[in-house]
Amino acid sequence: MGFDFKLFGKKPTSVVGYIEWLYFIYCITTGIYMLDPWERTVFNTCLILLLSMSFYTAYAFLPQHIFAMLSHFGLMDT
Amino acid sequence: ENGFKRPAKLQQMDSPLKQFQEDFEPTPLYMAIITYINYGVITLFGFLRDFLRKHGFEKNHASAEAGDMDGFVSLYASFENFYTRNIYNRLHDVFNRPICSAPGPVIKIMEREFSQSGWSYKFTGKVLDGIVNLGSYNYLGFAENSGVCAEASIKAIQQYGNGVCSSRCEVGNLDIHAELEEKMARYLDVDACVTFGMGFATNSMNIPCLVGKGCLILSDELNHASLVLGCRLSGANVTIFKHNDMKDLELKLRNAIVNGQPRGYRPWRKILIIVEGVYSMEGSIINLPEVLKLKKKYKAYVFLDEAHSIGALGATGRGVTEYFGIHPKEVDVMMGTFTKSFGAAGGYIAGTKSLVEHLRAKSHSACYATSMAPPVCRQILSSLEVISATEEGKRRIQKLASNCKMFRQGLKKLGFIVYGNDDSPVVPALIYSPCKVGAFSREMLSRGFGVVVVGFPATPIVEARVRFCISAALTEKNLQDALDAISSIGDILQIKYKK
Repeated sequence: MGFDFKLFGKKPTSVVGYIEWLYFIYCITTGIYMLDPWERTVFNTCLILLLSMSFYTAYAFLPQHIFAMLSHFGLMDT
Repeated sequence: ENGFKRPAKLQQMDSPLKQFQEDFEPTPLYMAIITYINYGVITLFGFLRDFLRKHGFEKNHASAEAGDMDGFVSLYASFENFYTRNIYNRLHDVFNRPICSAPGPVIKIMEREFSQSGWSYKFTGKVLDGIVNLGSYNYLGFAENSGVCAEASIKAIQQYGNGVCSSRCEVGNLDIHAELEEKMARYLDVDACVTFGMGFATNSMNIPCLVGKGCLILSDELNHASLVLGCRLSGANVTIFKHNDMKDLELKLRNAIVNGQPRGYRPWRKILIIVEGVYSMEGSIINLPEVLKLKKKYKAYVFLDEAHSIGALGATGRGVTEYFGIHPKEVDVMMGTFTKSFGAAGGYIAGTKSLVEHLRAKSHSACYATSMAPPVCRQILSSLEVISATEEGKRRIQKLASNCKMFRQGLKKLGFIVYGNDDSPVVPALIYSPCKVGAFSREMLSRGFGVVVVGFPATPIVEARVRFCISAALTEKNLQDALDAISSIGDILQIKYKK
């Protein structure tokens, strides 16, 4: 067949099956269910890159920004 | 005739027989957003793939002109447009499934194996047997290859052969055509009836005979492509009113009569209101008593397309007029097709004798098209006989009504959003997202049920749906199994939006 997801007989109860089902719902919600496997890899890679860069930026710069904002509004001693 | 009671003329107008109740629940906001995200991602990747194909990184499988056509302007703007290449092809295994048996309650589907991105397929040689058919327009179950109707058709082939080899105006007017038209006119209780070989051509070729330049057509938003084509070919002005909205229709009628034709403000030569009995994408039934009230008040004509409702609605299957208890002579032009409830092909137009004589003389379909083939006529005649004069017909009509009720109530109880009127034989359940629609159809096929899913061009972009067509040939067990399968798939795909 042109699609490569396995068909679910019923909602899975085992842990591994549940995680597979969660990935299936993620693919259906973002729309990558309809794409080819290599396109799915491209999309997931871009998404993971984007998210990891956002998290790193937040980790590195958010505390400074929060201190700067609070001292600007006079809620904290500089 | 099977307990058929003719209602009194005109009296029912002030109090319609049934309380008119239809529900079209609006799209939940999160589903609309998810659907737009789906289309956005697929379109983005579509652009990427088109780029790769154009610059040669990937082989282009689309059709193209042969090599020796240099200097020729290309015959088509693009053989396959963006939507077909990038969105439709990916769900290719869900549409156009080839069947190799009669389209009865249980069918055989040929299995196909698709290449990457759905560009091409080949048959694996395996035939999936015993698939329950929830998609064919087989309302009364006449799509069978054995039985009274099939035997009668075989006798007709032995008497007349298969082809007519002429049009109605020349040597193609057989006695079987005259018999069919007379019996159909008596069944519908009108003066006369004329039949054509193709249902689509009945609409598109005959509306131009009734209206022309200087006339106004008021057509419903969701009318079928054949009606739209007929309106366009006629050259009349077309105004569209909101689906089944009688206030909008009245407003547009009043505006039309007060303002007249666009330049010059001359009065319209004729006003024709075109509506359908049952709308196949929504499952809704036209509010016919109100339309006829407006027709009488503003002196317009009504064209009623009963393609899906003839044979399926009403206590004896005489269509939407019987459903509301209205005398059929109130409707000026009654059109219908033999494809859905009679298990044949073709269409008819019925009305007063002067209307029918006019169409016989002036219609392109009557003059130039080859007339209906004799076995098809005989199929219609025998199914008509069964519906109107035997116990079997009564049983089928009642079975259809009870199947509709059971299936629709079952779906609603499971928590699906279902559009349309409770009595219509078409049951659309909304799924909204294209990915879910594809997954739904594949899961249903793996459990042995064949369903029809419809997406973007036929429905609004956010409202992809699965359309079940109930048949009198389906047993209670078939429907109950289908509901169980739909329920389990609904849990997996999370499409029970009402819960």
